Amino acid sequence: MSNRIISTIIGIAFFLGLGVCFGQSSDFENNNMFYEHKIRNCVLGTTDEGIDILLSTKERRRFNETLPSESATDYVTSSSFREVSNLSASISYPKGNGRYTTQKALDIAERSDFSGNIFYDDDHYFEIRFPNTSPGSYTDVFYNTIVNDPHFFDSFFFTEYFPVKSATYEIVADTTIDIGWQIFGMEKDSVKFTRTVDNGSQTLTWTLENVAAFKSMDNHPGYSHVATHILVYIKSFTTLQGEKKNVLGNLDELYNWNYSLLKKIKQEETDELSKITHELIEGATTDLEKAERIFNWVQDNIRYIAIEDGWRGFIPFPVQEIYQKRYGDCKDMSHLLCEMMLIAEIDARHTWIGTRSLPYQYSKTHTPNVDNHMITTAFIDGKTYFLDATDSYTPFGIPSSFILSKEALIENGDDYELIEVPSFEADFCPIEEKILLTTDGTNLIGKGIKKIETFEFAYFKNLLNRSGNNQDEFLKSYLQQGANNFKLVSNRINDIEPRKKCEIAFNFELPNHLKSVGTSYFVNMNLRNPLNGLLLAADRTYSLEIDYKCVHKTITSLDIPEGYLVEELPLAIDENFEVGKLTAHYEIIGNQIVYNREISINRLLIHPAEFEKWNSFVKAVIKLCNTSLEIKKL
Amino acid sequence: MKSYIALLITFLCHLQSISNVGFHANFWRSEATFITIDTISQVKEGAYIIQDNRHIHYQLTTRKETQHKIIHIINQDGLDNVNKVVIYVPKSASILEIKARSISPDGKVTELNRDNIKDITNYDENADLKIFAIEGAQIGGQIEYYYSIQTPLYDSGIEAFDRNYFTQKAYFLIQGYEGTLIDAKAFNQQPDTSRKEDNYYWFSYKNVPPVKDEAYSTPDANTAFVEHKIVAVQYSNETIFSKYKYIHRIRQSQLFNFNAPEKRKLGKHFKQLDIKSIESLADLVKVHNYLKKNFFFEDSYDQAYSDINNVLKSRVGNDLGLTKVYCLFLSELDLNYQVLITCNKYSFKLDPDYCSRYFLTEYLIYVPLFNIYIYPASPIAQIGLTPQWIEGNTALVIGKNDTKPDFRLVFASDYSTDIDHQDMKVILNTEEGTSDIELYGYGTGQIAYDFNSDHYFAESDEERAKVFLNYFEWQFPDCEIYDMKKINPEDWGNIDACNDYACKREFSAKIKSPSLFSVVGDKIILNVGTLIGPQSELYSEDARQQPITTAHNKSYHFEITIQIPEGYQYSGNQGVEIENYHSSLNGSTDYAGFKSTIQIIENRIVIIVDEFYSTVNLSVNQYPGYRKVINSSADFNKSVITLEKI
Repeated sequence: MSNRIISTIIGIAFFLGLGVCFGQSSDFENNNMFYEHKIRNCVLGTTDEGIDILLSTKERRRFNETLPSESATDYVTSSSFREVSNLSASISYPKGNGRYTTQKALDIAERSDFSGNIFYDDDHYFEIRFPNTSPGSYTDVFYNTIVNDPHFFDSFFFTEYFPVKSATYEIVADTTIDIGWQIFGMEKDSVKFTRTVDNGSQTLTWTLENVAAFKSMDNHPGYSHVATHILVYIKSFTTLQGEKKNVLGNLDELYNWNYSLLKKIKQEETDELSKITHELIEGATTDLEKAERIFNWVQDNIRYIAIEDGWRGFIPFPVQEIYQKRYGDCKDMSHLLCEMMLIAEIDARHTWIGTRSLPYQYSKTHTPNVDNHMITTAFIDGKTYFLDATDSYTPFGIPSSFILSKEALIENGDDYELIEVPSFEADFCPIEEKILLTTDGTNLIGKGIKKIETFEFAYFKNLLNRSGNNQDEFLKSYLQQGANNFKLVSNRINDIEPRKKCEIAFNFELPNHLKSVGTSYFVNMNLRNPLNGLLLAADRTYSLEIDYKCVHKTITSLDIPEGYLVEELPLAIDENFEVGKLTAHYEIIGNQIVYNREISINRLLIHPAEFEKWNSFVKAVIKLCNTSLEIKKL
Repeated sequence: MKSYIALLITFLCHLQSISNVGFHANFWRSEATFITIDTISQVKEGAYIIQDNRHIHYQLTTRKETQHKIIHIINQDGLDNVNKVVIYVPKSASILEIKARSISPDGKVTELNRDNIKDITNYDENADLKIFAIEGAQIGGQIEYYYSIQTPLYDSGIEAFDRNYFTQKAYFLIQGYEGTLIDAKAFNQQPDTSRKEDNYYWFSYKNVPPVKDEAYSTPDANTAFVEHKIVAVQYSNETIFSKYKYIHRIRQSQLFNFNAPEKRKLGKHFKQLDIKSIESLADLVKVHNYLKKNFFFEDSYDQAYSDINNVLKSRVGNDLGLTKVYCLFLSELDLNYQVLITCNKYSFKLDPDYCSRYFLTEYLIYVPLFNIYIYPASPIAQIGLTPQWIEGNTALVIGKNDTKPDFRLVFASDYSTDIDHQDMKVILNTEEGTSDIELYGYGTGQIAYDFNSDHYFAESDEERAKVFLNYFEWQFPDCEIYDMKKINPEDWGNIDACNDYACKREFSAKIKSPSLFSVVGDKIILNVGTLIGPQSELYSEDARQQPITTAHNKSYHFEITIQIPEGYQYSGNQGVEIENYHSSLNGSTDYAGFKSTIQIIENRIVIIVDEFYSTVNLSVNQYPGYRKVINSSADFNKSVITLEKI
């Protein structure tokens, strides 16, 4: 470690040790706790051959309430690429007269991380336990992080789950280090930036004060979309030996780094894989058919189990191993799919991509944070296919819904291609229902057929599969018409096109739905509201994320009972709200009332600027779903 | 716990000889073959457990546990659920052996590569994990795994069946060492065969069905399991959980006999409380509220939290620790009390014929003078409150001068003290197509406790407001809710402002509904039933598997007044008037009831709904009657009123 870094660390420690005292506004007093400060100081110094990166982080949480120990517990994460050291923690209690008594945290335990979607990784965390807090008490946590590879430098969140009075991110670095950054989140425009240069050293500082707490909200697009944070990266640096080294200056460099990791995949014999691949494609007459068979095989036979251990988090297992174990994570599945397609002489490529939960795109962001997923892209007969076998039911040829509209970084040897995954219009995902209703004078008796494909097909099949021994309940809920006294008498799922499109034929009864008053029947033929629960609250600030655009097409027919005639039909509606579209009209055909309704959802993301339009759309659908028609005895 | 361990060590020191009875439970098959199951096409679940074999071997200072399973995989959900194995490895324990393999439908065997077994260190403060994925597992195939682990000598354990999957065969061998008596019992489903000797038990099961998620049930508590334990070492020194009488004696000593230094520590508290004895309920409330505000609950098995001296000093205790403090206070204030010990009813049902440590985890105090219960472990439980997770379970009762254990059902409050009351005034705006609803309501008993808890445990005012809004959003979906008020907001979450069980938490709100009514020609269809919010339903006609267990007794009262718009008159209703009761066989007790009435008074429609549930536990045979009442409210929810133009 260079002397410059060490002297700077001493300076930082002094600075951090002073602490910061702030007055408390009511925003902060209204929470059980808040962050009085979050400070990270990064010191970057070049060495003879490389670069040293040391981060020092200090956080102070102030408590307004007496909280039990478990509510005050804090966590610090560490990994093989970003190792935490010198962790210390204390709690200070007010003694009166502005003085405090300070004691160490009860316990700092290092634990392996075993949660979430990853079955195993080598990340670990420190669990810091404090005693009960008291009003006015505060905890201090300090730690260093050594970043072992410049590609993993750095991100910093100004936002937390509690308000933050002041958050500061600072870099002190040699001027020979070219640093890039990008800021994201709801309060990104309020982040203040300064840069000073002094004697070959540059100091870059970003501060944000009075940061609102992250709020839990339904269907928001993801924490990093809304939480204000900075991604910082090293574009290049010059070593003390005078050699300039490029790190992440542009997308080419990110790709080269990604590709260099791919090249580290251990090469093994693939005879068995070759054999099974040839068996699979035997008799297939087109590349598309071959690709589909291979994709379906991987979908069916390789289960998603993620094991990430150091560089294994970036480098797939050898294909033969994946094939034999029958499990792997996204990059393993992508790798196996690519290899099998190549055996079948299909042009298939490894493809890096960020899911929709991340706000980044490759064209603007060139750091490893930009992606968290890998798929396969196949080029067949001039068409591009984004293939993601991690979703067991996504039909061949369409991307999984969680990567729609994201940029895909496609491997092409020493070169790459950058292509945006389409977002698909609503017509691409029609959800069609045909319902025929009759009445026995008391109940409605119905026959229905629901046809689904593309994204809705994958959604339905996934939920059906996961419903385990509650499958009947799931089907009842999925097919429900009218109210919860909907009685599903029978159902049958038929493939229209295996693995792509199916229809569910069902028979049902709906007691009490027909309202009989005097000599009239009142019937509401809106038996389902697809926008139920999507009216946005007036104080909502985060965008609304929608899984996929789709159009709900419903034709509901009612046999007019003998001796009755139609007294009143609701008016036709045709309204376009841009974010969605609504049409509805009634016809009398023979002895039937035929009701045609279409509700299209035309956006993947509803931004706050469109909330009013969205709510108008939802309200119009609610109003429509509250209309009835009257049939009267002759 | 501390005293128990000391006792166990003492017993162990008396051991003179140990020998194994000669069982060797090596379930692992020498040759892996695919097992054909004729009925597999009829199985609805994602996997099917062909064999579930366990061997628990209590040894001198350690315990050896062996588990072996063969599972047939039916679909992807089943595959995803069973293709990963996680073994909990307590500190001081060691894995003796792990084997696993998959067998494809055509008989191909893929053995586990031991290099792929991963360690999760410090998973929690007590244990590490060994984890691995079964290699080669596939739909239609089978997996088999086996592991053996040596742990410290735990005195008891539970072998539970998989709740989600059918188990075709199971074999549990519980073995002690020579000179040691063990005991075991099967719960929720009896084995097909079982055998008992001094130092071993075995249970053999066939066809154990999965337990479904059913409304108003406790599926975990209803899942089949075998509990096992050491009851005596050297045939004489019995362990404290061997019989209720021992745990009764020990807890009696801990909860009724206090030494002089412990008593002396109460001086400053009594001074602060300004009290010398409890003469009235008000005195008891004063003490109760003081303890709630000055002592804190920690959910921990750490002995420090049950040690009374430590709790008095740190003011933090677990269930037992806080109960001891309560008992010390009551004892020193000369008030007679009993302690009831039971468990969370969603996990287990206490069995008076079999003592188990797992049945004795929750503490309640009963004060006969005021016929009132106290729950020490919640900071916000008002006097008289029995938490819903233990209400209706059976409890071990300990009194100061009892000479033997007694049992009784944990008090279930009278439904009339657990009220959800709402008055609504409704104005229909026929021109706008909207409705204005003015709501006043209150909750008492458990409902007040829930309100208080939500308020108390929220981390910010914003969260409190959000939770409060949720009460209304649930009942009035897609409505605009405004002007919500907590009446006497300072009382919410404040134990000092909840001095009796039936204390009220009152609120009001204004609601604008876009969908309460629709105009059809010259008529208005008013969905009046929706005003009580979406209701639980039991419409499914599937055969009921489990008995009925509700959270707590309760009642609802709604009074809805609707102003008939000018120019309209009432013309009829559908489904508003309902009356259903479910009673005991002899008709003497109403277990549940629903009654709704309608009256037209001048230009107002007045609807009154009363609903109650007066018992927590009902047998599966009572299900049809209970279902009828539950569905009455769900039916009312769909009722309509029609108005027509004059």
